[in-house]
Amino acid sequence: MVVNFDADTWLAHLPEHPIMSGRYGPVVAFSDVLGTLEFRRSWHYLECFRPNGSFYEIGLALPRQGVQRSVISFNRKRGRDFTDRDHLVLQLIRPHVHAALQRLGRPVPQLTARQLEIMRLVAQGLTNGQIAHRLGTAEKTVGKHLENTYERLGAHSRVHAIALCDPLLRG
Amino acid sequence: MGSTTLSTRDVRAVLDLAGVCAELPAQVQVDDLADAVPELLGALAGLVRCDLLFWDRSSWSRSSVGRASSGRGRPAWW
Repeated sequence: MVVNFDADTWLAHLPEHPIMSGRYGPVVAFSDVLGTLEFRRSWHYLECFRPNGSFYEIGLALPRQGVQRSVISFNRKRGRDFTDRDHLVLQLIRPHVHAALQRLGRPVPQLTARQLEIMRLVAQGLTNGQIAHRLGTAEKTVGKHLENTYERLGAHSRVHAIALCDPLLRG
Repeated sequence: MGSTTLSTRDVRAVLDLAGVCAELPAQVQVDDLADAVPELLGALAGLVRCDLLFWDRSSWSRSSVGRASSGRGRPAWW
């Protein structure tokens, strides 16, 4: 189902949107900000809520990424407004949702078989010397592989590199 | 300022959803992230019961405050 108005119209009204405007915090319901009368006269009620039978909305605004804003909104029909419990659980889950979406949006890095083999050992907590011994190569060579791996991943530390190639290590 | 107390069941639901978030695999860059996260959105709708669930993403003009430069319509996911 898609609400029937174009994107430009929707975007033009974003500054009036309590959730999308970002003025009232990361978790906010329309009813936190607008009285019933004011809400029923708003463009958002008339054009968005009423056509799909919704009357209440609470939004979970995720941290902005530059100019990109992302909000997950929950709508209910009349008579079942969102509660303090709903506000609280959304506050609690927000950092986890944000982390998951960030991970999903990131391209999986491409590493060579050797780089991946070394990163698996790094993730196990081995030092460069121990990795070199395990692979039967020089410690300097391991260091060079890691240097190239960091560059490919955009990593700034050992721990950061492990985090960035986590999906490869899991696989 | 009032306080809100969560039931054991609610706390468990939050922890379960945090687990779902942690377990979601990273994926190759996709044009529309929503294609990749039905599990996450479904779990969210389970945590906060709703009739419709929307995911809005928009970009705002850097040069003029309050004016949108691009974005999408409003598809409902639930």
